[in-house]
Amino acid sequence: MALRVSKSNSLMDEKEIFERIQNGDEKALEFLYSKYYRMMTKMVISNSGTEDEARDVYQDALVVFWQKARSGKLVMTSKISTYVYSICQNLWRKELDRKKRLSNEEKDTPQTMDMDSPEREKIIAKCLDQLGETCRKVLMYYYFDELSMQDIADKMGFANTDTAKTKKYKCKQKLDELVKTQYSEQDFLD
Amino acid sequence: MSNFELIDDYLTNRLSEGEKEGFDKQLESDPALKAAVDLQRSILEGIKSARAAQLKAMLNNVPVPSGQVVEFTMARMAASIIGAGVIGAAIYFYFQPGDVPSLKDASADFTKKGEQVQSAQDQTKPETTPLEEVKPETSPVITTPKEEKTAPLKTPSKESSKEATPPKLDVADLSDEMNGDENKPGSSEFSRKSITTSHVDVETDTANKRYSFHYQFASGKLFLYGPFDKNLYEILEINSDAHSVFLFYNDNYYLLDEKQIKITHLEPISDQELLKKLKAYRGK
Repeated sequence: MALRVSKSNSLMDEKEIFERIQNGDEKALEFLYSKYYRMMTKMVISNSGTEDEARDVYQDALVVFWQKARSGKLVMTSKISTYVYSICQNLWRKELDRKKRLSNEEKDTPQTMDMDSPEREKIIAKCLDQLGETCRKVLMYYYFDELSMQDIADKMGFANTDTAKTKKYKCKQKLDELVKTQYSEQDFLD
Repeated sequence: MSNFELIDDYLTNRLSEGEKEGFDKQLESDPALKAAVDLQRSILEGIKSARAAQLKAMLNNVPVPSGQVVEFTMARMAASIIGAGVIGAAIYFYFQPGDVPSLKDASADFTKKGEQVQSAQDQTKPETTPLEEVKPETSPVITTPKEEKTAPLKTPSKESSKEATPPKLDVADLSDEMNGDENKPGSSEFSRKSITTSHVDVETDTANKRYSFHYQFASGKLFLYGPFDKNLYEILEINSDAHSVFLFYNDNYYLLDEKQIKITHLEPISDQELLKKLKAYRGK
């Protein structure tokens, strides 16, 4: 199937997609995901990866891209696809490297698995669920998307930045309490 | 500033250089503060992981181009829309080769607000990618920033050779992607799985001011005019006594007359009986 779209159109679209992602439009991310799925996953698959691994790497790369774009710190000096492709390459190379080291460690030394981190992540995810949607969104926007208080206020429909700041503070306090309780129950804290 | 805010700003890099230095010194001499910071760090990591997982779950639900062709069996022929039997329906997903990173022109740049230009490579350093578990000092680098600016397809050379035993990473040949040949035999894992029965070549014109939602067949190709870059579209090709082609876009079905050489406005099918059957086929 031959599809040809003029270069200028594609660039315009690129810019539009980037702006939409900067503004937190998840539909734009979905569009991007579908658009480059084959190209990105092919790189992993043709380099000893499975389809699941390829999908995982591509999704991780897009999540990195999303976070960078959202935080306003990303300046695109190449096409989105070029940028995301380079992230995919790096992630997959590191994964191959990790596998290799893991395999060597298995041979050389007894395996020591740190189960702490995934367990903690599970606990925090559980606590976030208990917080309710507003708190969850505020905290994710602040800590992951790195939005300003003004952006959070706009996005969440808060009256002003003070409201956003107070909300974030209270939500974080609430999360801290929940996590501490959970950690104590799980004997993570001495 | 309260301790809570101080720790929060410290961990989110919102402190000034001076404040950060002072806080680092305080951390060295105050084990209780260090424990509080460690706890907060793990909570923030947890929030980030949860958000990343949320986004990944969202992406998992997005239909992706598989290149697979849906086969219809003879048993289903009785329910055929147009006649005797349905041989196959091929579903095409939109893929725009113009957006594939070009070997010749990867410098199609746009910058924002005149900020300092950074290379993509800088953005992918492990310490700035929350998803990485690999320690930064052991992370191999694939491309140099110079290579990054010219193309994403370069094979690692100087940088990777610094690694004692760098894993082999051949870079995929995207030439077939660039040609837009989704179903080229042997071009990928996906296409190897597919049995191509569709013969409809499609070209889209997404920026035509005169024709906002039109189609035509010319030179053996289907030309679609309109915002077909905004959403996925599918071409359903029905082979029976009479060969028919349908377009599915934004929840509507459109009959595409292969003899239509004039640019014609796309009109959604309103025949309920036909719609019911098309939905049934598409759902299979």
